[in-house]
Amino acid sequence: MEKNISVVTCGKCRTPIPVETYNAPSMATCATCHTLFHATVFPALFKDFEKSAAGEAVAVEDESSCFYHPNKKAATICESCGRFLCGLCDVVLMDRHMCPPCIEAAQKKDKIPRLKKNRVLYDDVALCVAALPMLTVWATLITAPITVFIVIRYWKAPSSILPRTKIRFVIAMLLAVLQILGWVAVIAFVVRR
Amino acid sequence: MRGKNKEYTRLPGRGRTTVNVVHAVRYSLWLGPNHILAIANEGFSEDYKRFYYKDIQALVIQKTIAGAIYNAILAFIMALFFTLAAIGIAKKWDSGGIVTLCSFAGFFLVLLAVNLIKGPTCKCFLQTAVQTEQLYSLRRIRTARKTIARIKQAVEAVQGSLSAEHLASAPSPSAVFQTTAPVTRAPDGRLIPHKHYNGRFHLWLFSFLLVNALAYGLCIVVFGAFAGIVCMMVNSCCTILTIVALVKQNDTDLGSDIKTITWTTLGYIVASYIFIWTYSAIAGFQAAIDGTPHSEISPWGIFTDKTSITVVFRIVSAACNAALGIFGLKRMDEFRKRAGMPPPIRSAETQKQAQPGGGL
Repeated sequence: MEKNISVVTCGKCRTPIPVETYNAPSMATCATCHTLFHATVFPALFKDFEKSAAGEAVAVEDESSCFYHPNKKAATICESCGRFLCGLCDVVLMDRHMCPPCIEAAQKKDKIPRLKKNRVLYDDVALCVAALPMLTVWATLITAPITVFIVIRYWKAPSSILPRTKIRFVIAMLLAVLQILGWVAVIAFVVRR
Repeated sequence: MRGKNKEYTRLPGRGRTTVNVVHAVRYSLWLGPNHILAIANEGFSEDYKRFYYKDIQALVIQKTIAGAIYNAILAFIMALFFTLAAIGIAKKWDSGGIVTLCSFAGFFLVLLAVNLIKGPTCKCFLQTAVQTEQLYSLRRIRTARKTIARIKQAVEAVQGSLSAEHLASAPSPSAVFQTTAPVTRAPDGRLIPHKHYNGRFHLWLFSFLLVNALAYGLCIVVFGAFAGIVCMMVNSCCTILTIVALVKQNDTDLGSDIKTITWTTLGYIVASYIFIWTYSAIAGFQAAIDGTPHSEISPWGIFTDKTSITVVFRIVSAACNAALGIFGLKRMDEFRKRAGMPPPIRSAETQKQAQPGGGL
Protein backbone atom coordinates (compact mmCIF):
# COMPACT_ATOMS: atom_id res chain seq x y z
CA MET A 1 0.00 0.00 0.00
CA GLU A 2 1.17 3.53 -0.74
CA LYS A 3 0.77 6.25 1.91
CA ASN A 4 -1.79 8.89 0.96
CA ILE A 5 -0.53 12.42 1.66
CA SER A 6 -3.44 14.33 0.08
CA VAL A 7 -4.56 17.52 1.73
CA VAL A 8 -7.48 19.83 1.09
CA THR A 9 -6.38 23.16 -0.34
CA CYS A 10 -7.95 26.59 -0.57
CA GLY A 11 -9.63 27.00 -3.95
CA LYS A 12 -8.04 30.40 -4.53
CA CYS A 13 -4.42 30.23 -3.33
CA ARG A 14 -3.96 26.42 -3.09
CA THR A 15 -2.71 26.68 0.49
CA PRO A 16 -3.48 23.56 2.59
CA ILE A 17 -6.30 24.34 4.99
CA PRO A 18 -6.16 23.35 8.69
CA VAL A 19 -7.70 20.05 9.75
CA GLU A 20 -9.91 21.73 12.35
CA THR A 21 -11.86 23.44 9.54
CA TYR A 22 -12.87 20.09 8.00
CA ASN A 23 -16.66 19.71 8.15
CA ALA A 24 -16.94 22.77 10.40
CA PRO A 25 -20.51 24.08 10.77
CA SER A 26 -19.64 27.61 9.64
CA MET A 27 -17.27 29.12 7.10
CA ALA A 28 -13.60 29.59 7.94
CA THR A 29 -11.04 32.12 6.65
CA CYS A 30 -7.97 31.11 4.69
CA ALA A 31 -4.85 32.30 6.52
CA THR A 32 -3.12 33.26 3.28
CA CYS A 33 -5.67 34.89 0.98
CA HIS A 34 -8.37 35.63 3.62
CA THR A 35 -11.08 34.04 1.52
CA LEU A 36 -14.06 32.54 3.31
CA PHE A 37 -14.40 28.84 2.63
CA HIS A 38 -16.19 25.71 3.81
CA ALA A 39 -14.71 22.22 3.37
CA THR A 40 -16.73 19.00 3.42
CA VAL A 41 -14.24 16.14 3.73
CA PHE A 42 -14.72 12.38 3.30
CA PRO A 43 -12.74 9.31 4.43
CA ALA A 44 -11.28 8.88 0.91
CA LEU A 45 -8.89 11.74 1.74
CA PHE A 46 -7.15 9.51 4.29
CA LYS A 47 -7.35 6.22 2.40
CA ASP A 48 -3.99 4.77 1.37
CA PHE A 49 -3.48 3.90 -2.30
CA GLU A 50 -3.35 0.32 -3.50
CA LYS A 51 -0.23 -0.21 -5.53
CA SER A 52 -1.03 -1.59 -9.00
CA ALA A 53 0.51 -4.89 -10.07
CA ALA A 54 3.63 -4.59 -12.26
CA GLY A 55 3.45 -8.12 -13.65
CA GLU A 56 5.65 -11.11 -12.82
CA ALA A 57 8.48 -12.16 -15.10
CA VAL A 58 8.23 -15.43 -17.01
CA ALA A 59 9.95 -18.15 -14.96
CA VAL A 60 9.75 -21.13 -17.35
CA GLU A 61 10.31 -20.87 -21.12
CA ASP A 62 7.04 -22.54 -22.14
CA GLU A 63 4.93 -20.52 -19.72
CA SER A 64 2.15 -18.35 -21.18
CA SER A 65 3.25 -14.75 -21.50
CA CYS A 66 1.46 -11.46 -21.97
CA PHE A 67 0.63 -10.51 -25.55
CA TYR A 68 1.98 -6.97 -25.05
CA HIS A 69 4.90 -7.88 -22.71
CA PRO A 70 6.46 -11.21 -23.81
CA ASN A 71 8.77 -11.17 -20.75
CA LYS A 72 5.90 -11.03 -18.28
CA LYS A 73 3.74 -13.94 -17.13
CA ALA A 74 0.12 -14.00 -18.31
CA ALA A 75 -2.23 -13.43 -15.37
CA THR A 76 -5.61 -13.26 -17.10
CA ILE A 77 -7.36 -13.15 -20.47
CA CYS A 78 -8.97 -10.12 -22.09
CA GLU A 79 -12.72 -10.76 -22.14
CA SER A 80 -13.06 -8.78 -25.36
CA CYS A 81 -10.29 -10.08 -27.64
CA GLY A 82 -9.07 -13.18 -25.77
CA ARG A 83 -5.42 -12.09 -25.56
CA PHE A 84 -3.30 -13.03 -22.57
CA LEU A 85 -2.60 -10.15 -20.24
CA CYS A 86 -0.06 -9.55 -17.45
CA GLY A 87 -0.86 -7.68 -14.23
CA LEU A 88 0.15 -4.38 -15.80
CA CYS A 89 -2.07 -4.69 -18.88
CA ASP A 90 -5.11 -6.06 -17.04
CA VAL A 91 -7.69 -3.28 -16.65
CA VAL A 92 -10.82 -4.11 -14.68
CA LEU A 93 -13.74 -2.12 -16.07
CA MET A 94 -17.28 -2.77 -14.86
CA ASP A 95 -16.22 -6.21 -13.52
CA ARG A 96 -14.68 -7.19 -16.87
CA HIS A 97 -10.98 -7.80 -17.52
CA MET A 98 -9.94 -5.95 -20.68
CA CYS A 99 -6.78 -4.76 -22.37
CA PRO A 100 -6.21 -1.04 -23.07
CA PRO A 101 -6.56 -1.31 -26.90
CA CYS A 102 -9.95 -3.04 -26.50
CA ILE A 103 -11.09 -0.34 -24.12
CA GLU A 104 -10.00 2.34 -26.57
CA ALA A 105 -11.75 0.57 -29.45
CA ALA A 106 -14.94 0.12 -27.42
CA GLN A 107 -14.85 3.78 -26.44
CA LYS A 108 -14.52 4.88 -30.07
CA LYS A 109 -17.43 2.63 -31.10
CA ASP A 110 -19.52 3.88 -28.18
CA LYS A 111 -19.91 0.37 -26.74
CA ILE A 112 -19.21 1.44 -23.15
CA PRO A 113 -21.60 4.30 -22.27
CA ARG A 114 -19.84 4.90 -18.97
CA LEU A 115 -16.69 5.96 -20.81
CA LYS A 116 -18.50 8.38 -23.10
CA LYS A 117 -17.08 11.88 -22.61
CA ASN A 118 -18.89 13.73 -25.36
CA ARG A 119 -22.09 13.49 -27.41
CA VAL A 120 -23.29 15.60 -30.31
CA LEU A 121 -26.94 16.57 -29.90
CA TYR A 122 -28.23 16.11 -33.43
CA ASP A 123 -31.80 16.86 -32.39
CA ASP A 124 -30.71 20.34 -31.23
CA VAL A 125 -28.79 20.78 -34.47
CA ALA A 126 -31.85 19.82 -36.53
CA LEU A 127 -34.12 22.14 -34.56
CA CYS A 128 -31.67 25.02 -34.91
CA VAL A 129 -31.24 24.47 -38.64
CA ALA A 130 -35.02 24.37 -39.04
CA ALA A 131 -35.90 27.34 -36.83
CA LEU A 132 -33.16 29.97 -37.04
CA PRO A 133 -33.25 30.53 -40.83
CA MET A 134 -36.92 31.47 -40.49
CA LEU A 135 -35.64 34.91 -39.44
CA THR A 136 -34.53 35.38 -43.04
CA VAL A 137 -37.27 33.58 -44.93
CA TRP A 138 -35.32 32.94 -48.11
CA ALA A 139 -32.68 30.84 -46.29
CA THR A 140 -35.25 28.16 -45.52
CA LEU A 141 -35.19 27.19 -49.20
CA ILE A 142 -31.76 25.70 -48.53
CA THR A 143 -32.03 24.71 -44.88
CA ALA A 144 -35.36 22.87 -45.05
CA PRO A 145 -33.98 19.94 -47.10
CA ILE A 146 -30.86 19.93 -44.92
CA THR A 147 -33.08 19.61 -41.86
CA VAL A 148 -34.92 16.66 -43.39
CA PHE A 149 -31.60 14.99 -44.16
CA ILE A 150 -30.30 15.52 -40.60
CA VAL A 151 -33.48 14.15 -39.04
CA ILE A 152 -33.49 11.01 -41.22
CA ARG A 153 -29.75 10.41 -41.04
CA TYR A 154 -29.37 10.85 -37.28
CA TRP A 155 -32.76 9.65 -36.04
CA LYS A 156 -31.22 6.57 -34.43
CA ALA A 157 -27.90 8.17 -33.42
CA PRO A 158 -27.35 8.17 -29.64
CA SER A 159 -28.34 11.47 -28.10
CA SER A 160 -27.63 12.81 -24.62
CA ILE A 161 -26.96 10.14 -21.97
CA LEU A 162 -29.74 11.75 -19.96
CA PRO A 163 -33.29 10.62 -20.82
CA ARG A 164 -34.46 12.61 -23.82
CA THR A 165 -37.41 12.24 -26.18
CA LYS A 166 -37.32 12.73 -29.96
CA ILE A 167 -39.60 15.75 -29.73
CA ARG A 168 -36.93 18.08 -31.11
CA PHE A 169 -36.52 15.88 -34.18
CA VAL A 170 -40.29 15.81 -34.64
CA ILE A 171 -40.64 19.59 -34.38
CA ALA A 172 -37.68 20.12 -36.72
CA MET A 173 -39.18 17.74 -39.27
CA LEU A 174 -42.59 19.44 -39.04
CA LEU A 175 -41.03 22.86 -39.53
CA ALA A 176 -38.94 21.62 -42.46
CA VAL A 177 -41.95 20.00 -44.13
CA LEU A 178 -44.03 23.15 -43.69
CA GLN A 179 -41.23 25.25 -45.14
CA ILE A 180 -40.86 22.94 -48.16
CA LEU A 181 -44.62 22.97 -48.75
CA GLY A 182 -44.57 26.76 -48.46
CA TRP A 183 -41.84 27.06 -51.04
CA VAL A 184 -43.61 24.62 -53.37
CA ALA A 185 -46.73 26.77 -53.13
CA VAL A 186 -44.76 29.95 -53.80
CA ILE A 187 -42.97 28.46 -56.81
CA ALA A 188 -46.24 27.06 -58.18
CA PHE A 189 -47.89 30.45 -57.78
CA VAL A 190 -45.03 32.22 -59.54
CA VAL A 191 -44.98 29.68 -62.40
CA ARG A 192 -48.73 30.00 -62.95
CA ARG A 193 -48.48 33.77 -63.13
CA MET B 1 -39.01 7.59 -21.68
CA ARG B 2 -41.88 7.28 -19.16
CA GLY B 3 -41.26 3.63 -18.49
CA LYS B 4 -37.47 4.11 -18.15
CA ASN B 5 -36.02 4.17 -14.64
CA LYS B 6 -34.59 7.51 -13.72
CA GLU B 7 -30.85 6.86 -13.63
CA TYR B 8 -29.86 10.45 -12.93
CA THR B 9 -31.42 13.04 -10.63
CA ARG B 10 -30.74 16.66 -11.30
CA LEU B 11 -29.02 18.57 -8.49
CA PRO B 12 -29.76 22.25 -7.75
CA GLY B 13 -27.59 24.79 -9.53
CA ARG B 14 -27.40 26.22 -12.99
CA GLY B 15 -24.16 27.78 -14.22
CA ARG B 16 -23.43 29.52 -17.45
CA THR B 17 -20.32 31.08 -18.94
CA THR B 18 -20.28 33.22 -22.07
CA VAL B 19 -17.48 32.29 -24.44
CA ASN B 20 -18.41 34.90 -27.06
CA VAL B 21 -21.46 36.75 -28.37
CA VAL B 22 -23.11 33.65 -29.83
CA HIS B 23 -21.57 30.88 -27.75
CA ALA B 24 -22.35 30.09 -24.13
CA VAL B 25 -21.73 26.96 -22.08
CA ARG B 26 -24.38 25.73 -19.63
CA TYR B 27 -23.37 23.56 -16.69
CA SER B 28 -25.43 21.14 -14.66
CA LEU B 29 -24.84 18.48 -12.02
CA TRP B 30 -26.62 15.12 -11.79
CA LEU B 31 -26.67 12.47 -9.08
CA GLY B 32 -26.14 8.97 -10.48
CA PRO B 33 -26.23 5.48 -8.99
CA ASN B 34 -22.55 5.44 -8.04
CA HIS B 35 -21.20 8.72 -9.39
CA ILE B 36 -21.86 12.41 -9.93
CA LEU B 37 -22.21 13.49 -13.54
CA ALA B 38 -21.10 17.00 -14.47
CA ILE B 39 -22.43 18.11 -17.85
CA ALA B 40 -21.18 21.06 -19.90
CA ASN B 41 -23.68 21.77 -22.65
CA GLU B 42 -22.18 23.85 -25.49
CA GLY B 43 -25.42 24.06 -27.44
CA PHE B 44 -24.99 21.25 -29.94
CA SER B 45 -22.82 18.92 -27.89
CA GLU B 46 -22.39 17.83 -24.30
CA ASP B 47 -19.20 17.03 -22.41
CA TYR B 48 -19.41 14.63 -19.49
CA LYS B 49 -17.28 14.22 -16.40
CA ARG B 50 -17.96 11.49 -13.83
CA PHE B 51 -16.81 11.56 -10.23
CA TYR B 52 -17.33 8.25 -8.47
CA TYR B 53 -18.49 8.41 -4.86
CA LYS B 54 -15.66 6.19 -3.66
CA ASP B 55 -13.09 8.63 -5.10
CA ILE B 56 -14.44 11.95 -3.81
CA GLN B 57 -12.13 13.31 -1.11
CA ALA B 58 -13.53 16.77 -0.45
CA LEU B 59 -15.93 19.47 -1.59
CA VAL B 60 -14.82 23.04 -0.95
CA ILE B 61 -16.98 26.15 -1.21
CA GLN B 62 -15.01 29.37 -1.63
CA LYS B 63 -16.86 32.66 -1.24
CA THR B 64 -16.28 35.22 -4.02
CA ILE B 65 -16.96 38.93 -4.20
CA ALA B 66 -18.70 38.81 -7.58
CA GLY B 67 -22.11 39.13 -5.92
CA ALA B 68 -21.01 42.19 -3.96
CA ILE B 69 -19.63 43.76 -7.13
CA TYR B 70 -22.92 43.15 -8.98
CA ASN B 71 -24.77 44.71 -6.04
CA ALA B 72 -22.49 47.75 -6.11
CA ILE B 73 -22.83 48.25 -9.86
CA LEU B 74 -26.60 47.79 -9.87
CA ALA B 75 -27.01 50.08 -6.86
CA PHE B 76 -24.82 52.73 -8.49
CA ILE B 77 -26.77 52.67 -11.76
CA MET B 78 -30.09 52.65 -9.91
CA ALA B 79 -29.00 55.59 -7.76
CA LEU B 80 -27.83 57.44 -10.86
CA PHE B 81 -31.22 57.10 -12.55
CA PHE B 82 -33.07 57.99 -9.37
CA THR B 83 -30.86 61.07 -8.95
CA LEU B 84 -31.51 62.16 -12.54
CA ALA B 85 -35.24 61.61 -12.03
CA ALA B 86 -35.13 63.65 -8.81
CA ILE B 87 -33.27 66.45 -10.62
CA GLY B 88 -35.84 66.25 -13.40
CA ILE B 89 -38.71 66.60 -10.96
CA ALA B 90 -36.98 69.57 -9.29
CA LYS B 91 -36.28 71.22 -12.64
CA LYS B 92 -39.76 70.34 -13.94
CA TRP B 93 -38.60 68.35 -16.97
CA ASP B 94 -40.99 66.61 -19.34
CA SER B 95 -43.06 63.99 -17.46
CA GLY B 96 -42.35 61.37 -20.13
CA GLY B 97 -38.63 61.72 -19.50
CA ILE B 98 -39.08 61.47 -15.73
CA VAL B 99 -41.23 58.33 -16.08
CA THR B 100 -38.59 56.78 -18.35
CA LEU B 101 -35.84 57.54 -15.85
CA CYS B 102 -37.94 56.11 -13.01
CA SER B 103 -38.64 52.99 -15.09
CA PHE B 104 -34.94 52.41 -15.66
CA ALA B 105 -34.30 52.98 -11.97
CA GLY B 106 -37.06 50.52 -11.10
CA PHE B 107 -35.66 47.93 -13.52
CA PHE B 108 -32.24 48.07 -11.90
CA LEU B 109 -33.88 47.99 -8.47
CA VAL B 110 -35.56 44.71 -9.41
CA LEU B 111 -32.25 43.30 -10.64
CA LEU B 112 -30.60 44.39 -7.39
CA ALA B 113 -33.37 42.78 -5.33
CA VAL B 114 -33.05 39.52 -7.27
CA ASN B 115 -29.29 39.50 -6.74
CA LEU B 116 -29.72 40.14 -3.01
CA ILE B 117 -32.32 37.39 -2.67
CA LYS B 118 -30.10 34.88 -4.47
CA GLY B 119 -27.42 35.50 -1.86
CA PRO B 120 -23.61 35.68 -1.92
CA THR B 121 -21.66 34.11 -4.79
CA CYS B 122 -19.13 31.33 -4.53
CA LYS B 123 -16.94 28.86 -6.39
CA CYS B 124 -17.18 25.17 -5.59
CA PHE B 125 -14.37 22.63 -6.01
CA LEU B 126 -14.50 18.85 -5.99
CA GLN B 127 -11.26 17.14 -4.98
CA THR B 128 -10.20 13.59 -5.78
CA ALA B 129 -6.79 11.94 -5.55
CA VAL B 130 -5.80 13.05 -9.06
CA GLN B 131 -7.70 16.28 -9.73
CA THR B 132 -9.41 19.31 -8.27
CA GLU B 133 -12.32 20.23 -10.48
CA GLN B 134 -14.48 23.34 -10.28
CA LEU B 135 -18.23 22.67 -10.31
CA TYR B 136 -19.39 25.56 -12.47
CA SER B 137 -23.10 24.98 -11.87
CA LEU B 138 -22.75 25.96 -8.20
CA ARG B 139 -22.40 29.74 -8.11
CA ARG B 140 -24.38 30.76 -5.04
CA ILE B 141 -23.56 29.69 -1.50
CA ARG B 142 -27.15 28.77 -0.69
CA THR B 143 -27.45 26.49 -3.73
CA ALA B 144 -23.99 25.03 -3.14
CA ARG B 145 -24.82 24.10 0.46
CA LYS B 146 -28.04 22.37 -0.59
CA THR B 147 -26.30 20.44 -3.34
CA ILE B 148 -23.36 19.44 -1.18
CA ALA B 149 -25.73 18.16 1.50
CA ARG B 150 -27.27 15.78 -1.05
CA ILE B 151 -23.91 14.71 -2.44
CA LYS B 152 -22.65 14.16 1.11
CA GLN B 153 -25.50 11.72 1.78
CA ALA B 154 -24.66 9.71 -1.32
CA VAL B 155 -20.91 9.72 -0.69
CA GLU B 156 -21.25 8.76 2.98
CA ALA B 157 -23.47 5.85 1.95
CA VAL B 158 -20.42 4.47 0.08
CA GLN B 159 -17.46 5.70 2.14
CA GLY B 160 -18.97 6.12 5.56
CA SER B 161 -18.69 9.33 7.53
CA LEU B 162 -15.51 11.00 8.72
CA SER B 163 -14.51 9.72 12.15
CA ALA B 164 -12.25 11.06 14.88
CA GLU B 165 -9.62 8.44 13.90
CA HIS B 166 -9.46 9.88 10.38
CA LEU B 167 -8.93 13.38 11.70
CA ALA B 168 -6.34 12.14 14.17
CA SER B 169 -4.35 10.54 11.34
CA ALA B 170 -4.47 13.74 9.27
CA PRO B 171 -1.33 15.90 9.18
CA SER B 172 -1.71 18.60 11.82
CA PRO B 173 -0.85 22.20 10.98
CA SER B 174 1.98 22.41 13.51
CA ALA B 175 3.52 19.03 12.62
CA VAL B 176 3.72 18.75 8.85
CA PHE B 177 2.19 21.54 6.83
CA GLN B 178 2.48 25.18 7.62
CA THR B 179 1.05 27.90 5.44
CA THR B 180 3.05 27.67 2.25
CA ALA B 181 3.58 30.44 -0.20
CA PRO B 182 0.38 31.08 -2.15
CA VAL B 183 0.20 30.20 -5.83
CA THR B 184 -1.90 31.09 -8.84
CA ARG B 185 -3.12 28.53 -11.37
CA ALA B 186 -2.23 29.54 -14.91
CA PRO B 187 -4.72 28.82 -17.75
CA ASP B 188 -2.61 25.81 -18.81
CA GLY B 189 -2.79 24.36 -15.30
CA ARG B 190 0.71 25.30 -14.08
CA LEU B 191 1.04 26.59 -10.54
CA ILE B 192 2.87 29.92 -10.43
CA PRO B 193 4.23 30.80 -6.97
CA HIS B 194 3.57 34.35 -5.83
CA LYS B 195 6.50 36.74 -5.55
CA HIS B 196 6.88 39.23 -2.73
CA TYR B 197 5.84 42.80 -3.46
CA ASN B 198 6.39 45.69 -1.07
CA GLY B 199 3.26 47.57 -2.22
CA ARG B 200 5.06 50.80 -3.10
CA PHE B 201 2.94 51.72 -6.10
CA HIS B 202 -0.25 50.91 -4.22
CA LEU B 203 0.79 53.26 -1.43
CA TRP B 204 1.34 56.00 -3.99
CA LEU B 205 -2.02 55.24 -5.62
CA PHE B 206 -4.04 55.35 -2.40
CA SER B 207 -2.26 58.53 -1.32
CA PHE B 208 -3.06 60.18 -4.65
CA LEU B 209 -6.68 59.12 -4.29
CA LEU B 210 -6.85 61.10 -1.07
CA VAL B 211 -5.23 64.05 -2.85
CA ASN B 212 -7.80 63.63 -5.63
CA ALA B 213 -10.57 63.74 -3.04
CA LEU B 214 -9.15 67.06 -1.81
CA ALA B 215 -8.91 68.32 -5.39
CA TYR B 216 -12.57 67.50 -6.01
CA GLY B 217 -13.39 69.19 -2.73
CA LEU B 218 -11.55 72.26 -4.01
CA CYS B 219 -13.65 72.15 -7.19
CA ILE B 220 -16.82 72.11 -5.11
CA VAL B 221 -15.77 75.20 -3.18
CA VAL B 222 -13.89 77.09 -5.89
CA PHE B 223 -15.48 77.33 -9.33
CA GLY B 224 -12.62 78.19 -11.63
CA ALA B 225 -10.27 76.93 -14.32
CA PHE B 226 -7.36 76.57 -11.87
CA ALA B 227 -9.29 74.12 -9.69
CA GLY B 228 -10.34 72.27 -12.81
CA ILE B 229 -6.77 71.95 -14.08
CA VAL B 230 -5.51 70.71 -10.70
CA CYS B 231 -8.30 68.15 -10.59
CA MET B 232 -7.58 66.91 -14.11
CA MET B 233 -3.86 66.54 -13.40
CA VAL B 234 -4.39 64.62 -10.16
CA ASN B 235 -7.03 62.48 -11.90
CA SER B 236 -4.56 61.62 -14.65
CA CYS B 237 -1.91 60.68 -12.08
CA CYS B 238 -4.41 58.40 -10.36
CA THR B 239 -5.24 56.76 -13.67
CA ILE B 240 -1.61 56.05 -14.48
CA LEU B 241 -0.88 54.81 -10.96
CA THR B 242 -3.91 52.51 -11.08
CA ILE B 243 -2.71 50.86 -14.27
CA VAL B 244 0.83 50.47 -12.90
CA ALA B 245 -0.51 49.07 -9.62
CA LEU B 246 -2.68 46.53 -11.46
CA VAL B 247 0.32 45.33 -13.46
CA LYS B 248 2.54 45.21 -10.38
CA GLN B 249 0.09 43.28 -8.20
CA ASN B 250 -0.19 40.36 -10.63
CA ASP B 251 0.98 37.01 -9.11
CA THR B 252 2.26 38.68 -5.94
CA ASP B 253 1.59 38.00 -2.29
CA LEU B 254 -0.38 41.24 -1.96
CA GLY B 255 -3.62 40.67 -0.07
CA SER B 256 -6.70 39.89 -2.13
CA ASP B 257 -8.56 42.74 -0.44
CA ILE B 258 -5.97 45.27 -1.67
CA LYS B 259 -6.13 43.80 -5.18
CA THR B 260 -9.91 44.13 -5.07
CA ILE B 261 -9.70 47.79 -3.99
CA THR B 262 -7.31 48.44 -6.90
CA TRP B 263 -9.72 46.85 -9.38
CA THR B 264 -12.57 48.83 -7.88
CA THR B 265 -10.51 52.00 -8.35
CA LEU B 266 -10.13 51.15 -12.02
CA GLY B 267 -13.87 50.61 -12.31
CA TYR B 268 -14.56 53.95 -10.67
CA ILE B 269 -12.05 55.75 -12.93
CA VAL B 270 -13.60 54.23 -16.07
CA ALA B 271 -17.10 55.20 -14.90
CA SER B 272 -16.00 58.76 -14.10
CA TYR B 273 -14.27 59.18 -17.47
CA ILE B 274 -17.41 57.98 -19.26
CA PHE B 275 -19.47 60.48 -17.30
CA ILE B 276 -17.01 63.33 -17.99
CA TRP B 277 -16.87 62.63 -21.73
CA THR B 278 -20.64 62.25 -21.98
CA TYR B 279 -21.23 65.52 -20.14
CA SER B 280 -18.61 67.35 -22.22
CA ALA B 281 -20.09 66.01 -25.47
CA ILE B 282 -23.62 67.04 -24.50
CA ALA B 283 -22.41 70.46 -23.31
CA GLY B 284 -20.48 70.92 -26.56
CA PHE B 285 -23.52 70.03 -28.70
CA GLN B 286 -25.72 72.29 -26.62
CA ALA B 287 -23.27 75.16 -27.00
CA ALA B 288 -23.08 74.57 -30.76
CA ILE B 289 -26.90 74.63 -31.02
CA ASP B 290 -27.06 77.79 -28.91
CA GLY B 291 -24.41 79.41 -31.13
CA THR B 292 -21.96 79.98 -28.29
CA PRO B 293 -18.53 81.13 -29.63
CA HIS B 294 -15.72 78.58 -29.36
CA SER B 295 -13.70 80.79 -27.06
CA GLU B 296 -16.48 80.72 -24.49
CA ILE B 297 -16.83 76.94 -24.41
CA SER B 298 -14.93 75.67 -21.37
CA PRO B 299 -13.14 72.30 -21.68
CA TRP B 300 -13.20 72.05 -17.88
CA GLY B 301 -16.95 72.35 -17.71
CA ILE B 302 -17.37 69.29 -15.52
CA PHE B 303 -15.08 70.90 -12.93
CA THR B 304 -16.11 74.54 -13.32
CA ASP B 305 -19.82 74.61 -14.16
CA LYS B 306 -22.21 75.42 -11.39
CA THR B 307 -24.99 73.09 -12.56
CA SER B 308 -26.47 70.61 -10.10
CA ILE B 309 -25.26 67.61 -12.12
CA THR B 310 -21.64 68.73 -12.01
CA VAL B 311 -21.82 69.59 -8.32
CA VAL B 312 -23.32 66.16 -7.53
CA PHE B 313 -20.60 64.54 -9.66
CA ARG B 314 -17.86 66.35 -7.76
CA ILE B 315 -19.34 65.44 -4.37
CA VAL B 316 -19.74 61.75 -5.34
CA SER B 317 -16.22 61.68 -6.82
CA ALA B 318 -14.70 63.25 -3.73
CA ALA B 319 -16.49 60.70 -1.55
CA CYS B 320 -15.44 57.75 -3.75
CA ASN B 321 -11.82 58.89 -3.88
CA ALA B 322 -11.72 59.43 -0.13
CA ALA B 323 -13.30 56.03 0.60
CA LEU B 324 -10.98 54.14 -1.75
CA GLY B 325 -7.94 56.00 -0.48
CA ILE B 326 -8.73 55.46 3.20
CA PHE B 327 -9.65 51.77 2.80
CA GLY B 328 -6.62 51.17 0.63
CA LEU B 329 -4.19 52.78 3.03
CA LYS B 330 -5.69 50.91 5.98
CA ARG B 331 -5.34 47.56 4.21
CA MET B 332 -1.83 48.42 3.07
CA ASP B 333 -0.87 49.13 6.65
CA GLU B 334 -2.15 45.70 7.73
CA PHE B 335 -0.40 44.03 4.79
CA ARG B 336 2.93 45.65 5.56
CA LYS B 337 2.64 44.63 9.22
CA ARG B 338 1.91 41.04 8.15
CA ALA B 339 4.78 41.07 5.66
CA GLY B 340 7.13 42.00 8.48
CA MET B 341 6.44 38.59 10.21
CA PRO B 342 8.97 35.63 9.97
CA PRO B 343 8.67 33.52 6.77
CA PRO B 344 6.63 30.24 6.88
CA ILE B 345 8.40 27.24 8.49
CA ARG B 346 8.76 24.05 6.44
CA SER B 347 8.61 20.68 8.17
CA ALA B 348 11.78 18.64 8.64
CA GLU B 349 10.38 16.04 6.23
CA THR B 350 9.80 18.46 3.36
CA GLN B 351 13.11 20.19 3.99
CA LYS B 352 14.86 16.78 3.73
CA GLN B 353 12.95 15.93 0.58
CA ALA B 354 13.78 19.27 -1.00
CA GLN B 355 17.51 18.71 -0.51
CA PRO B 356 19.56 17.12 -3.31
CA GLY B 357 19.45 13.32 -3.01
CA GLY B 358 16.38 13.56 -0.79
CA GLY B 359 13.11 11.66 -1.10
CA LEU B 360 11.81 13.48 -4.21
